[in-house]
Amino acid sequence: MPEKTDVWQGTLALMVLKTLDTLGPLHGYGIARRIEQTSGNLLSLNYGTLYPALLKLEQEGSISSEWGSSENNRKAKFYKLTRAGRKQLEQETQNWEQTTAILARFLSPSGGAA
Amino acid sequence: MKTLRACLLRIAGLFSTARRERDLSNEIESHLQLHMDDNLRAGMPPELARRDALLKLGGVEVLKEACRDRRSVPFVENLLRDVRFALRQLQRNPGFTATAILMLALGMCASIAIFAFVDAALLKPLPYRDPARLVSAPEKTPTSPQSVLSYPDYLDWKRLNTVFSSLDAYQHSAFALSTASGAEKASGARVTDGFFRTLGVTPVIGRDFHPGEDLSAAPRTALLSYAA
Repeated sequence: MPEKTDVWQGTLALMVLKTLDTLGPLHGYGIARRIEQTSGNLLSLNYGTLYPALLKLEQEGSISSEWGSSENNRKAKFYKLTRAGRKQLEQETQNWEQTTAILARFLSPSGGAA
Repeated sequence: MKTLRACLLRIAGLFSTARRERDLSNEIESHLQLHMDDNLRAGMPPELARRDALLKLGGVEVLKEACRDRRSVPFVENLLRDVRFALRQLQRNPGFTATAILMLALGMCASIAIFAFVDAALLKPLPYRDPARLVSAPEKTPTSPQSVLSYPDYLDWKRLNTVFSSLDAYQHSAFALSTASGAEKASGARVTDGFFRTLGVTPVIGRDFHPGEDLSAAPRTALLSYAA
């Protein structure tokens, strides 16, 4: 079994935003599970770290929250992406792609000299 | 903009803490419940299901603390808690509180009084036209460092003066003021004719002393000041 990687600082917010973008309104537990599953169980996510991140995103206006009922009728707080959050997601996706593209060039066999 | 919004919300987070705290507890409970449901569905025994959910969450109190820090301004919140604690302690011990307040009050009074004096005497410029050019020139004798100048000496000083643009004399004294209810003491000063011109002040109403009005032959005139 391969070693699980910790979630890198700052990438959790992006994962949350993307999850909400894909799945629509979702509760904290659902977001955590989705992140874990999407990573193919390669990420070890301490569920507890998700909530401060959600709080921060909500304070910054990227997401909003509302109490509702889950599919199996449990009360849960649902988070959804706001318009500002969608914009932030676009921006951060772009930044991330740029960063990974740059790194990929360095790490490619030709050593970036191409 | 985003940061400003977050800052304002965190300041707002200092208030209605009970409601937010309840909200957080409910959310954590709901999270554990959802996780347990999943675990049960996967065939875990109930006591293990909850334990696993708790383990995966990584400590409820740690999580709550992290959220509290994020929710408001921890520094201010701690400060408020300390202030409340201090007030409670003071309330429990009124004798000590009274003594402490009294001591502080006395200390402050003394400092304020001393400062007021220093401010008036040393810091604030004199309320005259050109305070930087105003000097006091007392007579110094072997027996007294600041003796009273005689009138003939004053006349000599004035005549021989080459360094000051003007030179005038004053002497504090008290006068008897006759009123309807008898004589009253009125404090005042005898001054030479150019005294107010040297200071650079003009009376609000009436006139300044004319030159020569300080001679003994001249009719007596007076200027009234505000009570000092």
